[in-house]
Amino acid sequence: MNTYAVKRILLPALFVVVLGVASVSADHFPAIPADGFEIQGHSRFFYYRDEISTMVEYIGRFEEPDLDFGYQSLTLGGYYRLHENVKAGAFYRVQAGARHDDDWVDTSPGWEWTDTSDRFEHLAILDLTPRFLVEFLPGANWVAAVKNRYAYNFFNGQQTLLVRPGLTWFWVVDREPVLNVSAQYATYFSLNFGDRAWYQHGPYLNVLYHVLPWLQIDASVAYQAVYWSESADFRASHPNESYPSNVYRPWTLDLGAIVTLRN
Amino acid sequence: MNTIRRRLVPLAAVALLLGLATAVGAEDGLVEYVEGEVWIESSGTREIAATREIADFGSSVSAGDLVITGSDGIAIVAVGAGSQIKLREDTVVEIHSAATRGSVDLRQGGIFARVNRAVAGGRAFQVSTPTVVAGVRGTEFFIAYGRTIEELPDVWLCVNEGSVEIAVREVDSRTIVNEGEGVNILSGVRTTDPRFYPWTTELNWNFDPDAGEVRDTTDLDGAYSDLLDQDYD
Repeated sequence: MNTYAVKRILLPALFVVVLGVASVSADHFPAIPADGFEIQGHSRFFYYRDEISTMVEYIGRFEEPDLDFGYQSLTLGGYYRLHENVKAGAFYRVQAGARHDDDWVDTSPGWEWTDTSDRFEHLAILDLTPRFLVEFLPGANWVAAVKNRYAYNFFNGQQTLLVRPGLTWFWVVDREPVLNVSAQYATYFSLNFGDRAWYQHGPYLNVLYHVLPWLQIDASVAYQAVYWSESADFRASHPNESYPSNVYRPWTLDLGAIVTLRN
Repeated sequence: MNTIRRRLVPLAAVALLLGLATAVGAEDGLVEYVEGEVWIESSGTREIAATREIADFGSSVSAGDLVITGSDGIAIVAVGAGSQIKLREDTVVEIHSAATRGSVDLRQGGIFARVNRAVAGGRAFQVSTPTVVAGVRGTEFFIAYGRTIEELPDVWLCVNEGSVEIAVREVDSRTIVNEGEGVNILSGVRTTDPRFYPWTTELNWNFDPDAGEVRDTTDLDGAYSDLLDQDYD
């Protein structure tokens, strides 16, 4: 599960720290940094049986400004292989530490980000991913895929759609994949909120090593642009204003392990 | 896949040299069970024309005969006292003399072999290809042609009981495959390290129709990594 989808609603506690400075001049504006660096970790377990692969995933992220532990999520669900080239998935997720637009609140006499570290949100996720072998490319072991993932957040009713086309090259030795290298571009659409059709997009590169037939480790580097919209409190109190800056472009390093069992 | 295998039959036939002490009566093989289309094809001699007959329960098989299963066919053939082979669909085997040194050449498809350990005794029980010799120390194994990715088709060998020694002639290497393990002899010349393959749990080792289904429906494509079936997130 690519968790950059929630980046926009998870902007780190950076704003809280910088808020003190910002409030001197305009405390109703959140201080949105131009860039940053975050580290994410994940562990996933897949169990394949016939056409079904079930998944359990845990994600934790250390976020700016001090790489404090911010967001975490647990996802349960699975994929069903509808066709040789198409998989459909359904998942449930519980997450904490997510930050949404409306978490920038008026606490008169000041403004601050709501502390969401203990706020648990529940999401339903649907996934449809077509994949195709791209045999004309050198080496023949190429797969093109487009991950389409819809999410509904029961906490605030927000609906999002991830569209992530990508190309993966498999280094195959003795008929077994040894290393995967993927390049992908993710765009996250806000279906019923915000002031633009998308709220996050950007490329990422992933390298996955098959340590054992059942164990993979992987590392990703992503460079995403995250767009913030004015919060409900802000719009209510300053209807004719906008955030002076609203784009956050963090580099994110994502490290993890995947256990895969097949029957 | 099957078409490809047929084309490559002359290139890489697998011979199962069964060191059997006794023949099955006067014949070298006896058909014990059939389902679907199964034929026995004799190669013929100068005096006798080649024939192809539908196999049935009790059909005898002589040295040099081919036992052939169609796309829906399976057959169980006794090839020595207490020893049997079970042919999957689209398989061709040649039966050799059981009276002297019984052997079976696997020319296409896949078979399960169950060798009577007592009869085999200390004799070498060998599986051969033009490039590989597998000495069978155990009593039950599966061998089949896989995909043709390089020049010659892969050969899969899995052991259900006992152990098998595989020797690749070209590189003079020897590998022991133990119970529960399998190997892929890549293009018939390079042997992978023996290990458990999850797909082998689907193999149907049953030879007794009275005990249940004997047909093996394992899809050997499942032995290969499916790059379209890799989920990472």
